[in-house]
Amino acid sequence: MIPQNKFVLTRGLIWVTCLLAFPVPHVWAQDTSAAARAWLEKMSRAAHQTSYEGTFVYLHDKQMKSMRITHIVGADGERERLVTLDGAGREVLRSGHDITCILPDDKTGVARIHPRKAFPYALPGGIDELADYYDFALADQERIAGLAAQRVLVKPKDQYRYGYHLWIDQASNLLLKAAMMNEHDQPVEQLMFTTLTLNPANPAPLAAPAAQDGARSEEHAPRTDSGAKEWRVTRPPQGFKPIEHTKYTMPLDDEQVEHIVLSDGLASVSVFIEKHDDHDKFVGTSYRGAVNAYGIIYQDHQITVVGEVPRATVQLIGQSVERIAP
Amino acid sequence: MMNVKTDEHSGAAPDGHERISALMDGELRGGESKQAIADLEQDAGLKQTWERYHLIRAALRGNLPTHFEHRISTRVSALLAAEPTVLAPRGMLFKAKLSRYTPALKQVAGLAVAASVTAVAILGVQTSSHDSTAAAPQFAMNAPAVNSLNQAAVPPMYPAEENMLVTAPAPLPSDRARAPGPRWDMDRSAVESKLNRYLANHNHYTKPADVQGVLPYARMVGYDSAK
Repeated sequence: MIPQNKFVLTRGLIWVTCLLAFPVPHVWAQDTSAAARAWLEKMSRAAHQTSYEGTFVYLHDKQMKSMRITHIVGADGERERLVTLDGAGREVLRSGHDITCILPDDKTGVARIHPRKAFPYALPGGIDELADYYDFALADQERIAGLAAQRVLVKPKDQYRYGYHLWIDQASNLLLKAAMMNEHDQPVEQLMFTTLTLNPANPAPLAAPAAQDGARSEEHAPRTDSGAKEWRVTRPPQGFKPIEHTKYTMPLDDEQVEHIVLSDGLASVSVFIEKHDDHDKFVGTSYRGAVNAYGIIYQDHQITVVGEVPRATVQLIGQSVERIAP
Repeated sequence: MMNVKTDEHSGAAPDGHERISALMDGELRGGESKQAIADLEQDAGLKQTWERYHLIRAALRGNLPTHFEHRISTRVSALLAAEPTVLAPRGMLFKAKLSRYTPALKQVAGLAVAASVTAVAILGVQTSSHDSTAAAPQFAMNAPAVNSLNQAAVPPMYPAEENMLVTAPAPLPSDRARAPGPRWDMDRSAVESKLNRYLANHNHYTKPADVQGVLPYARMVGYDSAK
């Protein structure tokens, strides 16, 4: 009997050793990463294919705003209208790739952006391409706006980009709540729906209104791509690649601006370079919510970097802007 | 702070806590505040409450220091107690009056110093953290030098992926409170307007309806203007 007991004991020990040696948590982590990415893919699709209307609160820098969004998918594509319900009643209207921004309380007044070419709204390489710079994980399930939501975490692998906590409606796959997290895992910007209606019967009108009295209208007319590009970003943080490089005339002040856009597939940074005039110069750093801005004067040019990335990223990019050797 | 009440400390009567709360709010009259300060000076438990109330108030206002000196008033008081009291004479009558109140004055002065040291400690934290990231404007000023360095090191076109890893020392922002620059809607209106337009143009290239959802749009309109 004793030898048999010994055998049982030994076999048990082998099992325990095997179990201990087997990297179970690692496997779990991989599993939620794949599931999390699947959720993001579904969310991205749903955002383009679903008609909905809802109100949400937007929180940044201890400021809170309530907004209403109407997103209608029809035969003529996607149309969207976002209206602030507090304050001056600013609006963003999107029809296809045309964006109209109505800022009654801003010097800009009405800004219409007719992009020269359509931006690839879908992630070019899919969510998987982001895995070089971000980790993905599933978190808990929560109730947001009366709906069951799955929380998905997107964590940057370095300090040059922000992370996200995203709460996705389990039924419609629409984004119900989003928090942009800084390197200390503190939210810098948050958005949360309080009501959401799918396929609204009587959606708010989506036509762009005429410019209001006294508001100045700013037309971002078809961008004139004038001449050779003169500038480049030499040393952006890893993963930020140039995805757009244009030159156009900035309305209101008729300045020629060279605009370089860098993206890691999720975060994006814009570099604007224009001839420097003595007034209105912007030197140093500034921010609003998750957006950081950095300005320097270099070789008689104002270089301004703007992006929803940490301050270090806009600084590094701004400091590595160089003239392209003729 | 009138609503903040605690009964976790058994050493002081509840009205002592209320008086501290009122003292913080500046709601006590001269005699009452002297008594409250005297109580505070005597009771180590009340001192802790005093510090805790300040911490709660800072938390409620959303401006917690990144580093909180625990029991700083106790330590400062202990140091002050070890110091001799020096009160400069300003005439006989005043001096005679003073001598009657010297113990109380010593306490008031001690607390005032303790309070000011607490304030300095918190300001100090903010200032020093400010300093730690104050490299930004300097970078801006030194930009040509930085760029001339780049000139030598930089390959002629966009570098290959492996060269993109930046090793340059970057001043990293640790949190919003440490941001050296102002929020741009608190800045000059011309610069604000320009940055708004840049942001609108930039947002066109972010990816709405993908991972960021409608955040890019909310950003374009969801701010309080300086005007």
